[in-house]
Amino acid sequence: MKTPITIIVTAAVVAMTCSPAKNPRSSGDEAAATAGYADPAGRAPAANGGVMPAADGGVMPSANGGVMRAAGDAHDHAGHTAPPAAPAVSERSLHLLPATWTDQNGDELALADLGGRVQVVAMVYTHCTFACPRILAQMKQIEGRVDADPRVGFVIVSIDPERDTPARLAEFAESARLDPERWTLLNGADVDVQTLSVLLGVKYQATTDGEFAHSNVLTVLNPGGEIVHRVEGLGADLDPAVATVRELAKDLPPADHVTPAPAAGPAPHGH
Amino acid sequence: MKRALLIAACILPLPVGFPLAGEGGRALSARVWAEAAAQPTVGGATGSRGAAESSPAAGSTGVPASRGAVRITGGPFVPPYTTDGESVEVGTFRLDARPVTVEDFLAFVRTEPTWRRSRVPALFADRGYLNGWTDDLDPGLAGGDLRRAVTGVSWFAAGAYCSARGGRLPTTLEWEYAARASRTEKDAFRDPDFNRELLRLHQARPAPDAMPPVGRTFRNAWGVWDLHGLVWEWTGDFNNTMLTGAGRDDQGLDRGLFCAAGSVDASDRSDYAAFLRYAFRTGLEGTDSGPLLGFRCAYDIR
Repeated sequence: MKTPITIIVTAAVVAMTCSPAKNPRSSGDEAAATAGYADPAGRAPAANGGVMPAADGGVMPSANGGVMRAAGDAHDHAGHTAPPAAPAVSERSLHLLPATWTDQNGDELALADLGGRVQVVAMVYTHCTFACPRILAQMKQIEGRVDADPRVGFVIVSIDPERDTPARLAEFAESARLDPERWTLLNGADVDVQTLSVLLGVKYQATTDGEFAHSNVLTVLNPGGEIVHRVEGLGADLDPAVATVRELAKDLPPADHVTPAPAAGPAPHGH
Repeated sequence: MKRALLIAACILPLPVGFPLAGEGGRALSARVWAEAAAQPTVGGATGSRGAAESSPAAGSTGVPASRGAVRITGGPFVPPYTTDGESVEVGTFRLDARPVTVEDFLAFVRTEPTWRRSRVPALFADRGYLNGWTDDLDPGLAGGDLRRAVTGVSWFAAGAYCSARGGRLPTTLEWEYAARASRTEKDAFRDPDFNRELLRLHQARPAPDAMPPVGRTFRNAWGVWDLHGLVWEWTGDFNNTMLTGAGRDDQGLDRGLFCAAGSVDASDRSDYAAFLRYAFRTGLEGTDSGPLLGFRCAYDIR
């Protein structure tokens, strides 16, 4: 039959050209990885990390701004029967960011790999002496108030990637007793940290003595990677954030069935 | 007479009346934009202003296309806003001689469909993105000059453009360093005539619907055009230009608590144009795609 073959070929073409963000990062090839597309030329890292949406467009901004589109539905396939789309990636999702990060275990991942859970995200650095422990305490409070629900994750992205190597992050996670089942600590390229900070509205600047001045923001992402809530300031009331997190988590499958959502891009179909 | 501005570098919480960051900053930048948009059209008159001082006559056929970067030799630099007055070392880099034009950006979106107006995700640009374009590939200028500076481009789009050209956005430090040059002096900071002209140029920025081609204001001692008097320009670290105190005034303030608050010295009123730029940047968000905001690219020396 022609149709299934067409589907397979279409899926393969779409999969290759709309490649998910998590290309393995070979040394010196960072630019190609961050560019999101399979770009053999390899582009120089840009000030904003070579931001390219992880999957090709086809997005029509709608009046209400909340357009959902199929992550793999990026090309004109008139006449084809498109495969069932992968979970849609909203045009407001941080999963569109193609940057590759390294976690405290040395594993590489993209933000899209953190989907499927509610995520509470902070940008801090481990050598921070005052504000960052406070931010961490806020995150732990939220964790406690949702009873360590495994559908809720916590992400710390370092604004000091030079000193906060993955090994250092692992050390920090251990001394802070952060459960690796739920806590992800990320090291990334300066340009990617910059881009994420712009997306999250976090400001930071290295001071002359090697410290960082930074704003204090917690961001709640829904399982689709959209920003749904922000907590600003160290003394903020966490009730609204906790309520938001609970509300989002309750719609997720029961804890033992939670798996991260696939990265933007169609799931392969085993026809 | 010295005028000291106390600027807390945090976003929140903010002391009452704090003028620059967060909501206050956005209100300020909105006001600056509104002021700028209300300025009288400069239009063809720019030719005379620019041409008198610059080497090539800036006639309509002689306006150079927006391409070509110049080398900016690094050196010590005391930024316009600093709490300790200390000099920093700016490294050598290359900088586009002119802002990126509509023509340039059109070529970019032809090859990068994800940055077309109908496709760009809301994550990366707001509703003002390429405002005025009548279609993805039609800048809608109805015969107008494609060599005017492109505006309505978000920080993400600007960065993607520069990345595609093997470059990046300039840092704020680099931009300000290059912008400190007059026609003849690379560091014209202390030149009162130049500082007066900068204010005048700021106030005479063209209205969005009457943008001249790039390369019309003046060509500075580095060979760079239009850093003053045309469009506001993105920098790579626009959201990190917080003004921090690493010294005398924050003895009682835990530096780690927020961002450090510091006292910023504007040593004379000739810094006003720089003040406006810093204030403007503080109010920006990455998705902002305003009609007076454009960019140019920087390139590392390899």
